[in-house]
Amino acid sequence: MQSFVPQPLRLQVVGLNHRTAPLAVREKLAASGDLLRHTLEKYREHFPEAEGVLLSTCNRVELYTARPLRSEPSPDTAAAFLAEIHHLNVNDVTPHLYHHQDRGMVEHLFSVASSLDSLVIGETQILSQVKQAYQAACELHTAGKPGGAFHTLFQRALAAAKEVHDSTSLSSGRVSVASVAVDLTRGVFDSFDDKTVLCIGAGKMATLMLTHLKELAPKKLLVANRSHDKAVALAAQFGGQAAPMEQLDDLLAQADIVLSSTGAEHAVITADRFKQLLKPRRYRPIVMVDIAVPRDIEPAVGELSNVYLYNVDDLQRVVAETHGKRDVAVEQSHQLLKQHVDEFVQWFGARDVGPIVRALYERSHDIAKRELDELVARMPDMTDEQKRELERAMHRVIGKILHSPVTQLTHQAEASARPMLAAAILKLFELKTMDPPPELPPKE
Amino acid sequence: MDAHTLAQCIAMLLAALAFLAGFAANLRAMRLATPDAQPPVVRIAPFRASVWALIFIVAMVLWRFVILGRVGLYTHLDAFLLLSLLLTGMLFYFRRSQHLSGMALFLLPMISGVLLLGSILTLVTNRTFDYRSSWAELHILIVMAGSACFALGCVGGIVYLLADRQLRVRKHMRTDRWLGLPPLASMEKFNQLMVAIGFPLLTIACLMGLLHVRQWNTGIILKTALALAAWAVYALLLNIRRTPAFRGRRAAWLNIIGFAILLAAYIAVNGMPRT
Repeated sequence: MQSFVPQPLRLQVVGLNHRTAPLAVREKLAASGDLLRHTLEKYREHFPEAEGVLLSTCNRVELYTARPLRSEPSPDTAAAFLAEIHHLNVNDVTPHLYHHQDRGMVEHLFSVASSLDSLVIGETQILSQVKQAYQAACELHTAGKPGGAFHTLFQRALAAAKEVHDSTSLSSGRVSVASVAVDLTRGVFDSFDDKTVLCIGAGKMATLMLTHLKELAPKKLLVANRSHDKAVALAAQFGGQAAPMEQLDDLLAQADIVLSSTGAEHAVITADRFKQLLKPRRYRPIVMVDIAVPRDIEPAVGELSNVYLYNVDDLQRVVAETHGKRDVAVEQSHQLLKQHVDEFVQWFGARDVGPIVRALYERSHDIAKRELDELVARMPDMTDEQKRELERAMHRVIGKILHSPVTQLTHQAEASARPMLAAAILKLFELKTMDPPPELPPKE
Repeated sequence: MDAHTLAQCIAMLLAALAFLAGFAANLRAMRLATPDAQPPVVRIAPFRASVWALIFIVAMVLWRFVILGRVGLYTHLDAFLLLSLLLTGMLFYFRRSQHLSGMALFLLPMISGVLLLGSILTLVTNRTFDYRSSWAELHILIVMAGSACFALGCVGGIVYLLADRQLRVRKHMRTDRWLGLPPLASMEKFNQLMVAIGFPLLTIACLMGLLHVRQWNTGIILKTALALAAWAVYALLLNIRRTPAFRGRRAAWLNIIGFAILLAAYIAVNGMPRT
């Protein structure tokens, strides 16, 4: 039989977020669409033994990995990998990075998925973003085997986040980014029945923003997008008109309110481009809301005369300030998450050594059974009751003898010490096993 | 200077300081609270201040009536009382306005300034207006009416710049730096309206003044030059639609500068001892 010594996995996360890096740095590391796929493919090439999920949102870029203890990527290697993918100098990125491992990584992931680490605590978008990141990793086969530790980790994180949102009031009473944008627009304009709204991009965020802007009842709504079909669909939903991106200058000259949420990697509206439009616009005031990461509108556009430009950080900062005081819901959420984290960490610890412990008990019981059979053969006068009592006594002795080493192996030992202990037990007791680690039962 | 006039000057000084202190206190209270958490006393403070201002000014006018036996523009004191009365009336208008209610609080320092200026000028020169005909009194009346418009435009310009700065530094209405300022578009329209009303009044006042100059001296020349400079600034502002590059902050600054020039014209000449 083939011996099986499970390699303990190191769980780690390396990344940056709205607390550790400004928007200008975060947008350089942002990855979506093709770039995300490219990053995961490169990850698989560079680190074939490791599992990985890349989470990239407007507020964070994080690389979650599960790797054998002595293999790559280490935190430094992961940082260098992220920098290399985006053609950045790792020294420019490193000061903004943090990393957590093992229990710390689990706590971090669960907090992120539950929005407790978000700039806007209680927002629900992060949950779908974590799910999408996990699904992308599954499609590109960087998330490990189905039923493996990484799969279980992410599924548990998503389930815990859902439970937090359902069981606590964390998500209620929020002011949203979209409502803040509407308020800022009201700070500039006093009426909207003669105003034109231009929406550049036709994704989910554009739909969300337009849902709120609809309450202003503007005179005209224009939607411009690379894909004309999507622009037509979005415009039809809100009673607007689709317009080709090629006419962007004309559209900007007409617009009083601009929402931008494309997935472009470079600025769509530059300061030089917009300067040319000030005169055709007759210097009318304009509110521009740029919720894309990387930004669609150059920051310098906001310095121009009568231009009021807001990016996602500006809006989210306001939202976060209004949600500063929801201590009770936050505390409840932390308590709930702690239970989930404890459960996962316990399972994860037992997972590695489960087969060994099972084999040890099986071996011990086999020996006890053989000895008992020989004893019964030598003592035919033994009653059935005596046999049962003797069997029970042997089991108790085995349990007492193995309790201490098993407890050390499953609960007390650090992850780094487990291979040594596992290998010692296998060798000393001459154990062989091929069983795969048991799965954590799914939560209902 | 008689005792009544002296007492009135002191009363105006004290009232001006009281209004200024009230403005500062309310401003601080508003900056420390979010809109939802503002106590009622902060929300209705401008209305209360306007009521007290109106009561005070009417009392002063009645006092003058008792002394002079008539209501009229007799000295700087009367002219500035008229100006502060017009501005106080606007306080009530702002209070009832849907979009401009946030300006009411910022009118208080202007009213304080007018009361302060009137009392100081009276204390320094106590000059009665030299009326040779009823046109002269009409000239003063039109000057004050126009000045009221430009004073309101000046306040509007200051508030516009405050609101613009608040929007540019991304201080949102819901944060603890909320000042409850009106939308920029409302203020721009209001400022343009004040210029549209005040400019013809200023033009008529300038023409009336020029037509009735008896002797050109340094004071008259200086006053005329400053008045014409202010007139040019407001002419530019009036034609903002044809010069859109002057919209927004530039227009706000022009409103402030124009009123400052007008004020300089009044102070520089009427505050100087008559030769």
